[in-house]
Amino acid sequence: MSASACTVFAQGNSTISRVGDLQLGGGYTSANSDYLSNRINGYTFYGDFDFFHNLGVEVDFHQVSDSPSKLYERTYEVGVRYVRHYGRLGPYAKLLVGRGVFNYPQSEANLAYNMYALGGGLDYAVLHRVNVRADYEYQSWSSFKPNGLTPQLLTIGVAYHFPSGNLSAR
Amino acid sequence: MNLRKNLTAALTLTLLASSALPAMAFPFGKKKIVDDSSITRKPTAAQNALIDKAIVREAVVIKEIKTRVPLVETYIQNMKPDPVMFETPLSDDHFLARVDWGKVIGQTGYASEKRGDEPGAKGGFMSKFKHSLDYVTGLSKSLHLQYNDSGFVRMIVIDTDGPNSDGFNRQNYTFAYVRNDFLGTVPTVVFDVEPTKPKPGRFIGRIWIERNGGNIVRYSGDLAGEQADIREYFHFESWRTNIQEGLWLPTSSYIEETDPKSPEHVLKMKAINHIWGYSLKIPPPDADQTSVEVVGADNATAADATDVSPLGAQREWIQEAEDNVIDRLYTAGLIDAPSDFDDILATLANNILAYNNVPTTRPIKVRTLLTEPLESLAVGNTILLSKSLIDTAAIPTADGMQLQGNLDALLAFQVAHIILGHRIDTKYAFSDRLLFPSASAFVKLPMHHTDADNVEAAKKAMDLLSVKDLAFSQPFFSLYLQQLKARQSGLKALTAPQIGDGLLKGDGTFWMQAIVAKGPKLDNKDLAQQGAMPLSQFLRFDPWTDKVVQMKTTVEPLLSSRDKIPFEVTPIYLKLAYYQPPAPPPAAAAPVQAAPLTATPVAPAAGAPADAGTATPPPADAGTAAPAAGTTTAPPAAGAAPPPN
Repeated sequence: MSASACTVFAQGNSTISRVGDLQLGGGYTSANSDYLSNRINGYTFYGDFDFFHNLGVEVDFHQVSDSPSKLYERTYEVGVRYVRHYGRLGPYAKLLVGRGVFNYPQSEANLAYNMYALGGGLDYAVLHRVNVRADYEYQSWSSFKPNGLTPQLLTIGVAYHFPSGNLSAR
Repeated sequence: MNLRKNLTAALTLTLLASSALPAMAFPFGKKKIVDDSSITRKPTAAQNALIDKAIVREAVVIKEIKTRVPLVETYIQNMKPDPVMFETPLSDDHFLARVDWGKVIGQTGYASEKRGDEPGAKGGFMSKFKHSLDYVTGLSKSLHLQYNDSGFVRMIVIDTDGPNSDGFNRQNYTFAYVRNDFLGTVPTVVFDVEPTKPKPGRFIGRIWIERNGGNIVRYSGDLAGEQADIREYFHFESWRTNIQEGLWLPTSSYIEETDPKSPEHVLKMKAINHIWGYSLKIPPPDADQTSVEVVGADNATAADATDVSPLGAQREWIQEAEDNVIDRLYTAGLIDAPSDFDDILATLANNILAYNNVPTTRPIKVRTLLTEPLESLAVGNTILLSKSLIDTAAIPTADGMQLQGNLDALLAFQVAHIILGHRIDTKYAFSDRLLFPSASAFVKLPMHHTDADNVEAAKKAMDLLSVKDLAFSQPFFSLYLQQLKARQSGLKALTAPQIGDGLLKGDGTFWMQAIVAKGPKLDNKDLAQQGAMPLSQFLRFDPWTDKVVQMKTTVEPLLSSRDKIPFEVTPIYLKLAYYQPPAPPPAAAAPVQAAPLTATPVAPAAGAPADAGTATPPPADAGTAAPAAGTTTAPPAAGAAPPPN
């Protein structure tokens, strides 16, 4: 039964809608730290909320570390992503800004820097509610002394995709 | 730094290329729309003139309806495949709103609030916990696709863009001639319409413009700018009718989407919009409160009386409450204006009393609740049956007995409430109790009976239907209830009463469950057996006067079980006609007489030839199953005469 009251009747009133498309996931990350010569690995948590069919926001958390040296790079990022949908495939590109924490070798120092990231990847819907992802991210820590830091991360992840569900009344 | 520049450039290029690529460039994309402009033709000068006229008329129509507050009812059925019936409702939804065009084209829902005795209606710790749970559930639900009632209401006009909602013009649309066509008796010219620029909410489809006045009378298509899985528009077809001289206003829309994943092309959903109440007003005096005089009855005693007895005063007080509630429901647009069809139903109801030798001082009146949910109620001595209850029960047969049987059974339940004295709350005799917004009518006027009253009434109704002249109705109504039972799980909104009594108890059985055993077993494969009809198949109402009239349709023979579409939404096809002003009333109106109510049962469709193509009950046949003359049945059916002092 209807429970609406005083809904504005605008040109764009659609027959069905939802607030957006949400997926939350995590994954394994391998990175070129741009500090050490060897690759370092870690994990990632990510979330996407697409409030338009092609456009949404992405929130990322990355942590990659090197155990012997105790070095780690940790980032908190938020930004926009543009995604296309081709059946089960969803290639996307993203632009994020955030804060990066760099733990120097042997924990000599632990400093935080502003950073931004560009990236892209591919979501693949293996199941109705499960997406897997391959993601590439290029980060720029411009205030990192002396010449900035540009880590590059490759992530393989899996996410729970909140389904659009069966049609129901608002 | 070089690497950074290269990566930035590569990503930027990827982004640009991704957005610039046509869908067909990717093997998994949607197909490109084929340009079929060769099928249609560029309009001639005369056709362009008609289009210009239609644009002007559309603006006039929108301006006209902005001054009104029509009701829009949307009923939606989500479908699923069925091996026997092809498809059946999986679930349903119902919206009822009063559109306020005068302000910002907005709407107010006729929400039914929880009844106080329902779990969760009271406060306390558990309530707070439940509210928290509701919040989480609501959050999760908001990630699901949900119907927007405003999206359905929006279908009653072509375009609502612009400061005056007059976005339907040559700047925004291009037109291509298709053909000339007749819709009923109205000559039309058909054009295909496309928006010049893609913009969410712009109409894409076909319009029918009537040639004489340039009014758009039908349009069919979709709206542009959908975002799959986020915001979607559904295909719809809307009809307008000529309800006043030169005025064509929206009457109904049919909405349908096929399930793209279904190889059998089963529908994903179908829905219907009904619009009425353009001219809501104070009930006409002497319309529904006319005292019915009985032929031969002597009113001299009442006329001569200068005082009212205590019991008489009590009855007057109840009558006052009844009249107030009926008037309020009418001005809220929820019940029809008194009509000839209501009189036929009233005759049936009074005949139930007559056949059972039940005396009454006031004859029963019947009106039609214009909304979809299957429900009935008794307000004092006035019974209200919902339009869909009548539509679905009105099964056309050669002898008309199934129709009459079902109506008898539906009426008997509320007649039983009246007989048992389950009367209206007399607080409504105070007119200030009825001063509330129309949209609150369902909340402010709960007319449903208690479960105990319904159990008692169902038992009494079975007794009423057990008399010889009404017993024939039991097998028919048994089939109706069995058919409803078979579809009950997908029809929760349709079976949920808004203001009165539904057919179902809380446990999913029927109030009149005892009658189910009285009929043959339902067999959907048996084409000779039909338990219930689709919605909107028997009655239609004038959206201006709110009077219901019986449709005059041809009988469509059933070819397979798939042709049985009980309780389902069906497409709309109107045979349009130009407005005909009502005949002027006779110069000297005679006093209203209730001559037909001399205990003569109406035999709907009795003897109606099949080729008449209608389920219309013919005028009462005095010779058909009438109670024996000279019995005590005539006085109660006539009933207006006060009891002798």
